[in-house]
Amino acid sequence: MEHEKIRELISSYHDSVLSAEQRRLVEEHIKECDSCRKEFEEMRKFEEVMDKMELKKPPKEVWQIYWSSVYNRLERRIGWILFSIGAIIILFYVGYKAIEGIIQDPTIPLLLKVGILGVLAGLVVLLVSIGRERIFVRQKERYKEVEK
Amino acid sequence: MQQETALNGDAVLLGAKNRMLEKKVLSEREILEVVQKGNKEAYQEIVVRYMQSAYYVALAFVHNQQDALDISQDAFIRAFRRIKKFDTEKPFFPWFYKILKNLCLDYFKRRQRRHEVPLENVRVLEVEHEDREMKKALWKGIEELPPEQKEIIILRYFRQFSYQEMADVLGKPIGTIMSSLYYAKRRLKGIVGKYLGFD
Repeated sequence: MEHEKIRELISSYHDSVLSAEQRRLVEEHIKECDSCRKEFEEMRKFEEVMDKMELKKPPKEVWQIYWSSVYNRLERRIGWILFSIGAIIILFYVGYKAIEGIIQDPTIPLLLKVGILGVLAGLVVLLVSIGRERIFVRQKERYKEVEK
Repeated sequence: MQQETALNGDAVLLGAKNRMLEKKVLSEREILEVVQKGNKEAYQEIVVRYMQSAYYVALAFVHNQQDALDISQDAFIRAFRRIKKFDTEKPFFPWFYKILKNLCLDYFKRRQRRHEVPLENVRVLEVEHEDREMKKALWKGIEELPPEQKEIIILRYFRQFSYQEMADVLGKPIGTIMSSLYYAKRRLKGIVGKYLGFD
């Protein structure tokens, strides 16, 4: 069997996925072939190094609150949608009342009134959006102990 | 009346399944069938089972613990919202992995748009002092692998997935997994070799 094919098998040998026949092929080949035996040893050392590679662990508390974070976000979704719609309606109503005089003034052109209402609607949506973002950021500060 | 009885029967079944869940005797498929009925408590079993894999896969992609937590949780939320479309005859994680990976890729696109700092400089490894340089170089090597090889290395060495599990998650035959792993290992072995004195 060609060396390249044996080397591919060697690469999987230490993962214990080869069949008995494939393992036998590798073992017999490396008895005869110095370069493949060297490859086998180097791959063994490489696997040892890789087995010690670990990604940074978060504090244990992260796992304790992980599910509750997911659950809360699932639960709160509908609440947030209703809250946002309600807040937008209320703020828009309050804003409209504040500028009612301008809107009802027949001397002001219609285009300007539409523009003013557009600015008001945009402002309200932005305010609610920023408010929600602030609350989310505060919620996420529970992870402030997590090392970055 | 008949429909009411059927609904009551369903509720009784759900109650029984919840009690069985507490005793952890349900298979993943059975749990997911309960979740598909909108039962969030049952979903806890799935989240707890896969949260660490989800987090570490995301961390390997995004290199930031806070973002990895957020993305992995977002993926579970998104999966729950789409759970009715999930085929319970199939394993959950490969389906979930696609959602998670898409969120990680979205994260990269957002970072690119904002011209944020490259991720290579962010430390995500547990590193002992004596082999610090080698592991740093090795991680850099992993980062520079073609995307499909990088994914396989992450799943194999950082989550200890079997070849079959990797094939399921990535939707590729085992032979392709084996071959990609071989080429990835060859490249990475070259890096280790510089530190361990391979010729």
